This record gives sequence, C-alpha cells and structure tokens, in this order.
Amino acid sequence: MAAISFRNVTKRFGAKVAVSNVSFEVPEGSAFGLIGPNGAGKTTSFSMMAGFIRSTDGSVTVLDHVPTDVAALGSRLSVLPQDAILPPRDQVGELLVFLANLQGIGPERREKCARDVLEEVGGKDWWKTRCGELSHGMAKRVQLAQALLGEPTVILLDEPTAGLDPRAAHEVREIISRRKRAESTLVISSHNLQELETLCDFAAILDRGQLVAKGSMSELTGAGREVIFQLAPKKGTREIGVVPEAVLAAISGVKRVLVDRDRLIVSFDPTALEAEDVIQSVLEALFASGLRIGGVTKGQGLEKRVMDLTDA
Amino acid sequence: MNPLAEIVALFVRELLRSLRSGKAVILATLSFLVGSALALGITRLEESELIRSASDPAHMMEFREQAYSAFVGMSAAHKLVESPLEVAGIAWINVFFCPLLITLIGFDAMSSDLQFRSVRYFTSRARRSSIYLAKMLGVFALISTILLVIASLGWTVVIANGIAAPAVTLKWGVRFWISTLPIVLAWTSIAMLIGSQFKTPMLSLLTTFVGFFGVWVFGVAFSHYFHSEALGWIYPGTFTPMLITLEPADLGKGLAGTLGSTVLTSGLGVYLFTQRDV
Repeated sequence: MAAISFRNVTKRFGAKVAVSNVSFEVPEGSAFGLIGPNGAGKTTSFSMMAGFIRSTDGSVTVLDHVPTDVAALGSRLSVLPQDAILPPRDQVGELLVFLANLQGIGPERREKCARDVLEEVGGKDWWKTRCGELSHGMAKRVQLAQALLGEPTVILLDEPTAGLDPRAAHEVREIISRRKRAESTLVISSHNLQELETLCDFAAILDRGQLVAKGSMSELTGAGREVIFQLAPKKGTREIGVVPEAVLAAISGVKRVLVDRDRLIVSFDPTALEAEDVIQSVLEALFASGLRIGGVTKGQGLEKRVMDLTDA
Repeated sequence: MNPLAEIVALFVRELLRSLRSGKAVILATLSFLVGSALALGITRLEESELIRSASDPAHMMEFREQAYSAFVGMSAAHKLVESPLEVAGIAWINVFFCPLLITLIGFDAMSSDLQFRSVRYFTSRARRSSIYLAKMLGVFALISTILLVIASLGWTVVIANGIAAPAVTLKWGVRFWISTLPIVLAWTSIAMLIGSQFKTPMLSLLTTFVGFFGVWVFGVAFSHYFHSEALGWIYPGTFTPMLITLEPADLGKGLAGTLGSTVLTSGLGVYLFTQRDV
C-alpha cells in the first residue's frame, strides 16, 4: 500500500514549470529518496507532499488525504523543512512543547515527548536556549527533533544532513536509521547520494522537473543484476593479467561479461542468480586465473546511475 | 486538535511573542507618549476651562449636548450628556490613531513568518484558518490593550484635574473603550488581509499604509464628495458615532457594519491564506 501517491502532478510558478506530470508512489513503511540535481524539482515535490504548496495539476495524497488536510492527518505526518528558520525568540523546549500541543499530544506527555526527542538528537542541554542562539548544526538537530515528535507515520526530511560536519551528519543518519527500523515511512530529499543509497529502499530520480527513473534502490543501481569487480595489478607490476572471459560467460545465468580497463562488469539474470552467487563463482574463476581483486560492488552505485540519467 | 483549541493555543503564543519582542518596549513608550500628549491636550479643552471657571452645570450640559449632537445627533446626544467630553475625546482620538498603531504592530504578523518560512512548522500541525485568525486576534488584543493604556493616562489626568469624578470617568471611559473595540477589530482585519499577501515585512508595511489610505479616500473623501452613504461603510471609523450611542438601532447598525466588515475581510484573508503557497 502507498503511504504517499503522486499522480500526474504538475506544478507551475507563473510560466516556469517546476514539476511536470510526475507520478510515483512511496510504499508504506519504506525509506524513499528524492534524488536530482539543483532545479530538478525535489524541493517542490517535497513541499507538495508536506502541504506547503499545492499542485497545479494532478493529485498528491498522503495516507489517502490531501496533504493540507491537517485535521485528517493530525500528528501522522511530520516534516523537516530545509529552509524554514526556527522562531528565533522561542526557547527550544518551549517551542517543542508548543508544537507537541498543536500535534494533539496530551498535556501529561508533552514535555516528556519534547525532552525525549531533544535527547535523541543530542540536544538535551538546549532546553532553555533560544532558537536564535543555536548554531547551524544545533538548529538542524532541533528541526529534526520537531519532526520526530510523537509517533508520526510519515516523516518527510528535506536535506537532513545539509551543512552538518561529518560527525553530526553521521549521527543524524543513525537517528534516521533508527526511525526506519521503527517502521515509519520516510521520505528523504538529499544531494548526498551515498547517504540516500545507504538509507533508502526506494527512490525517484528527477531532472528538470521530470521523473527520469523510479523503483527500488536495487533496481536503480543495478545491484540485483550487475556485479563490478575492481581488478588490482600483480605485485611489482602494472599488469592486471588476463581475465577468463569465456569461463565467466559460461557461468549459468551470467548474461554479459565486460572488461573496462581495471573493472570487470558481470551482468546476470536476477531470476536465475543472486548477486552473492555471482560474486562467489566469478571470484573462484578469477583466483584460479591468478588475478588479484581490489574490491567488489553490487551494481553501479547510485551516483553513477544519477550521472547517467541527469544532464550536466 | 479542534479548531477553537488551536486558535487559543496559537493566540496565546502570538501574545507572548509580541510581548517578548523589542517592539513591545517601543510600543509601551509610544503608548506613554501618545497618552501624555492626550493628557496635556485635555487640559486645554474648552470644557475643562468651563469646569475650572466653575461654570453653571446647566450651561455645561447644554455645551456637552451641542458638542455631542454634532457627531451622534440630538437624540443620542441627550443620553450622553452625563459623560465628560474629555473622556469621549480620548476614545475619539484612539479611534483616529488606531489604524496607525495597527499598521505599526500588525504589518509583520504574518509576513515575518512567511519570509523565513517559520510558518511551515505550524501549517503542518494546525489549520491555516486557525493560524490566520489567531494572529489577527493577537494583534487585536495587543492594540486594544495599548489603547486602554493610552486612555488610562487620559482618564488619570481627567480625574487628577477634577474634571470629572473617578466613578464617572471610569464608567464612561471603559464604556467608550469597549465601543471602540469593534472598530479596532475591523481595522485589524483589513490590515491582516493586506499584510498576509506579502512575504517581505517592509512591503507589507507600505502596502498596509497604502491600503488604509485607500480605505480613507473611498470611505471618507469619496463618500462625502459623491454623497454616498454606502461608500462610507468601507471606512470603519464611520461607525464610531453609532457605537458610542445608547440607541439600540444605531448600536445594531454600528455592530453590523464593523463586524460585517471584519467577517468579510477576515473570511477573504483566510481563504487566500489557505490557497497560497507557504
């Protein structure tokens, strides 16, 4: 079942078409990535899901309701907007308690919920700090905290790690992973493709307002039908050696073997083989031929896929 | 959360936000200055001179009736003769200045949240109509309080100068202040409608000024020029005489006019806010 549904959605700002006839569904309980370069329509799509803006044509639904139907969605939808500044004069704790109140969390639970999420993002000492006095990284965590308030069914996160130092970004990813395990539906819009590849099960790739690919992360990266072996030179030489292409091609289920300089790309039929079987069989053949292996990856990686699909 | 609870929660937050902002100090100072100027003016009024010169009470009543009749008609003026002119004058001046105060206080009620998109933390949790109405009521409550402070300074001078007894001053002062509230609400609603269309507070401020001036031009200048009573309804101040009288029919008209204007403008404001991108 779909937690979020986009059906032939178009959004125009005056003459400019920001999103054009886009359709996709976010499966319930999944982590879904919105991917694309600047100007692709990610934030516009995200804003339509969050109910910040309305589509010009087509329909967007979240848990079978229009996103602006706050009364119906209640506390089931929560949002981390990328570029929304926290009210500068509000103290962090007071703001979180107030937002919890608006979400309908009872007075006996409000403060505890607020303190719990603040602790979860590593900010338990910021309770009395005014939002305007927070550093960028601290503010980002408080923004994340407000999105985690209560027990939302759908959490929308726009660039959750943008502008954070590597440690803080890692910690935020850990928090998101925990929520993913808690079976919330997550939608993450990000430029960080490695992050999305790690966190997400499904994704939609947008470019210039158009949907250019959608599906499971495995389908998008080719992880379920392609394995790439990084070939290393023999000790003391620059020579890789001879790849036994005929032997590899003869493995049952292997469809194609391609050697591209120091990379060996093996495509296979996913209905006949799993990637792990291919890795084992190919490695055996390569070792038997005296070749050295520098690394193995399933699929091309999201970055390569996005580069192929989107214009520079 | 039900809409009423949402409005109350957001309204309380708006009030606290206003009181905490630097604007509160500026407005408190402004209130004191306007109130003081008003108090000085009171001591110069002709009636005050009459009182100081221990004029005949009958002459005083006649003087008041004539003065009131110019604004509310003879029948209503007769019922207002017990109220000191100074106290009514304070209310009148408040009504005159309230658009300025509303512009200065309310111009960024919505636009500041729209500019930095802070409103997004609230639109995903509360109905937009609740957000809009709570902000409007927040501005209204603040303005009403400021006008009460300004009036209180004036009343103090009235009492201290022996122009009227404390009980009389307070009785009529509070009554006149309450009478001005529908007018304040109508102006606040117009200001919110205009101000909420812009994301830049400065643009919102300027447009609210222009909008209010437009309301004056149509509701006062054009109304007089074209002898059109209907045009006068655009201007909330038109209803002041009706609201301060004790004539039920006039009071009803005044309330219908101001509250009708409020419902119309805030209804339009809510509709536009629910349709717009934030």
